[in-house]
Amino acid sequence: MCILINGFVGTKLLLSNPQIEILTVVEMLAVFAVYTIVNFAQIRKDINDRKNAKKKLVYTARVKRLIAWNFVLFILLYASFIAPSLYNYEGVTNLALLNVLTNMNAIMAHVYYSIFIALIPFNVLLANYLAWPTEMGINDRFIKQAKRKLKKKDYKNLIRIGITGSYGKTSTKFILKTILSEKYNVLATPESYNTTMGNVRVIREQLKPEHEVFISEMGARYRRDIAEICDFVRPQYSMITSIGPQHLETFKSIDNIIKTKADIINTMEADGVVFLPKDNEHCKKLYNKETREKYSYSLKSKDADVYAENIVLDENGSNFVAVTSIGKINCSTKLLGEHNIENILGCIAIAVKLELSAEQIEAGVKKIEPVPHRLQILNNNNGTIVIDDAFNSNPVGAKMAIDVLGKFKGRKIVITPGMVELGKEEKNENRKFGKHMASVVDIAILVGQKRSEPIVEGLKQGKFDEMNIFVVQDLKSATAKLAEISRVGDVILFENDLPDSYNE
Amino acid sequence: MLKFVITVFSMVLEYLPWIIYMLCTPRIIHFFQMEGYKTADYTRWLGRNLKTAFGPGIKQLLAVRSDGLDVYFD
Repeated sequence: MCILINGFVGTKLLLSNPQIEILTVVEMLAVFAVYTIVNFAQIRKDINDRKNAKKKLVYTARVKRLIAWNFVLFILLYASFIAPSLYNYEGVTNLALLNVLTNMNAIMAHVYYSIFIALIPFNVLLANYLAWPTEMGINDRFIKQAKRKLKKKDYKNLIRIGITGSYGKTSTKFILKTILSEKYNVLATPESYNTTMGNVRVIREQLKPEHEVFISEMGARYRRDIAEICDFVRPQYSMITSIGPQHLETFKSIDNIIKTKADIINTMEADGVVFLPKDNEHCKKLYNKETREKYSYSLKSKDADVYAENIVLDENGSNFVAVTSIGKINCSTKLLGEHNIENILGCIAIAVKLELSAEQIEAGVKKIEPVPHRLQILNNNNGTIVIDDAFNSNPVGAKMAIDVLGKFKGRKIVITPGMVELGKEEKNENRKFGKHMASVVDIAILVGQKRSEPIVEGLKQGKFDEMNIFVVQDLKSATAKLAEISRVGDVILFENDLPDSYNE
Repeated sequence: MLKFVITVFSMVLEYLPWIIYMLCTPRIIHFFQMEGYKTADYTRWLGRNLKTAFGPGIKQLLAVRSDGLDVYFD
């Protein structure tokens, strides 16, 4: 506030100072005006970018606190720049920026002004460090509230199910919710909420005593993430959908991924029940080691507790027979891809354990709707079929998506930037993806010059016609290219749409 | 009159860095939010997106030369 008042006083004093030539002030104002134009052009661009962003900035309480911390940092920065230039004019200590600038070399003033903007990324980081104790305190309070709520006698009989996995978590959660809703009042974490605070928020704000089942999706990017969520959710039923090379960049090794995912089982009470897919080699190892009550499910192995028979996959969905301990269940679903059948089998295993009848399960499976952006068929009026698999970014899912595309008739077009966050394996996986693509796809539109290099290599290895490879700079150019080349009857797969924070 | 205009402009421009700084901050906070508020993820993002993160500051530094406004400098 002192600086603010001083600024006004200083400006007035500056202009009444006979020692400063009016021309100098005019020059400085002109320089400032140029900076302002440049800055506002940038700000306008920023606002437009944010408006068009796939994931918009949400002004949460945390963001507001972060902005406040940034403002504090700016004041400190501002004052620290001004402080050395303090001078006393007619007995008033003056902090006015213009006063300092008019005594500076103009180039220095230019640097000085630019520094404020250039330092923002560092200031955000610093602000986060400053805010860290407060944020930790707030988070801790919310976690404790969620914990206390779940311990209340209103929730004594609440069935808690935890779902984790390298991929397939969100789809499995929605499938399970749909099936279990045939018998129970179910609450599941919405959308892709799978962080600690996401789960906490749902428990605090949405969980009601009338809910009979709570399904928690647990995501992880770091070693202790799952254990942290399990600490307050305390699932009685746990399911790992898959273990694979996802987020290798932060996990560093597949061993760390296995340990992290296994935390969902290891943190359970002795009477907890575990559900694992037998077709995943890492999950199979966990299954063999597990001493708690356990159930397996499989697409391929008839040794599993729940498995599929007579699988028929086509462009309209899938039909199969689920073999369970309560008998064979005819399943028909709109979901595309074999991996979704595997997810359904896992959910059926849980449903059987929770005593749903075969009829209820059959009815539940029929009601499953595709999860947005996960092999979702979109209605298109121009005679083309669009498969939106934008939220998929793992090697298994990407391969499956190409296989699903292969089930369709018509010319097949893929738009993809490839997969990310696979660490050292990223190039190799993208190369394999390209090679697999070559066997199914007719036209490949690849987003990002550098990013798509390994995919192009893979396509070439698969003897793909180079004339049908188009590399574009961004998604906007990709859709423009698509509009140019697509025709009636084409099937277009959008495979993995990178978030706004990913650039070449 | 000229002095009055200059006074008003000076007052406004005096605080422009404050305003611009606060208007530019959400851009970076948006990326910070997309990285899940995790410092490690954000610093990794910073390392990989130097142009996006520091571009406006650098643009600012280079603006005068490109706009041919050297005339205003000593």
